[in-house]
Amino acid sequence: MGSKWRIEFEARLPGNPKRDTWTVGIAPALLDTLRINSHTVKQMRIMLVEGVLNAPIAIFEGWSRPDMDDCFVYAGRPIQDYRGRGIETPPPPGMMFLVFVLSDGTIDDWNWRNVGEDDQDLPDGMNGRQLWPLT
Amino acid sequence: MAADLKQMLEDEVGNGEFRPYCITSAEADALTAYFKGDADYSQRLTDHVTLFRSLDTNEIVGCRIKGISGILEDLPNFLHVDDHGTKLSMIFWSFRGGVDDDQLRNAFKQLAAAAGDMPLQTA
Repeated sequence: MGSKWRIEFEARLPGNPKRDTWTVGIAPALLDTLRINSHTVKQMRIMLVEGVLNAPIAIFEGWSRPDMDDCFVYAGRPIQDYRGRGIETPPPPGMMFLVFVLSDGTIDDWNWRNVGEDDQDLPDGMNGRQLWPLT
Repeated sequence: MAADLKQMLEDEVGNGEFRPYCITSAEADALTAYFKGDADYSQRLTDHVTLFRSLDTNEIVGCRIKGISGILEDLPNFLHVDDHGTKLSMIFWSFRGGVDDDQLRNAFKQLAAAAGDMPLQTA
């Protein structure tokens, strides 16, 4: 049976990020939507997803709303941004890159977010349970 | 992997102009809309709404509405939806009524204006 994802990554396992990984991926339907509508920035920023999943600065469980307690957010600090095909820039200052993953491993979204005002090492507006680093 | 992925993505990227779009995800119970294709960042506005803003201009270029299934179920009770379906701006209108904060109200107003006549397509 083929994979349900067109692009797959090995991500740090939320419950045991130091030792284990799990396979996550992006569904063909989402990739098709980005391609059909020429959302180039979003497409090229998939390049940032792998690094964040491999070496997250933080992992959160829960999307701060009902029935999404078993989903995850990976936060990281890529050293570059992509703004189009062949357009690499430094990362936006004061921001972290977030990857949102459903409980079955489907990557649902990815984007930059300002760091928190109180804690510059964590993204702003993140109310889920912090799994990593352990607090 | 990175080199292969970069090549694959560059092959997928076309030369066409960005087209506004709106998609819903039943699994994530969320709606995502983009009005412009600027390089963007996300800003959590409320428990239900995340804005996507241009990195260059800070203009609102899209949004993500969370918990969309309940909102869509309720809409017909409040609005007459004709054969052309629901407009995305109606969703922002539904949120706007419940906020007291001027900044939030203004953000919803900007979202509704940016959404214009964009239809709400449900999966």
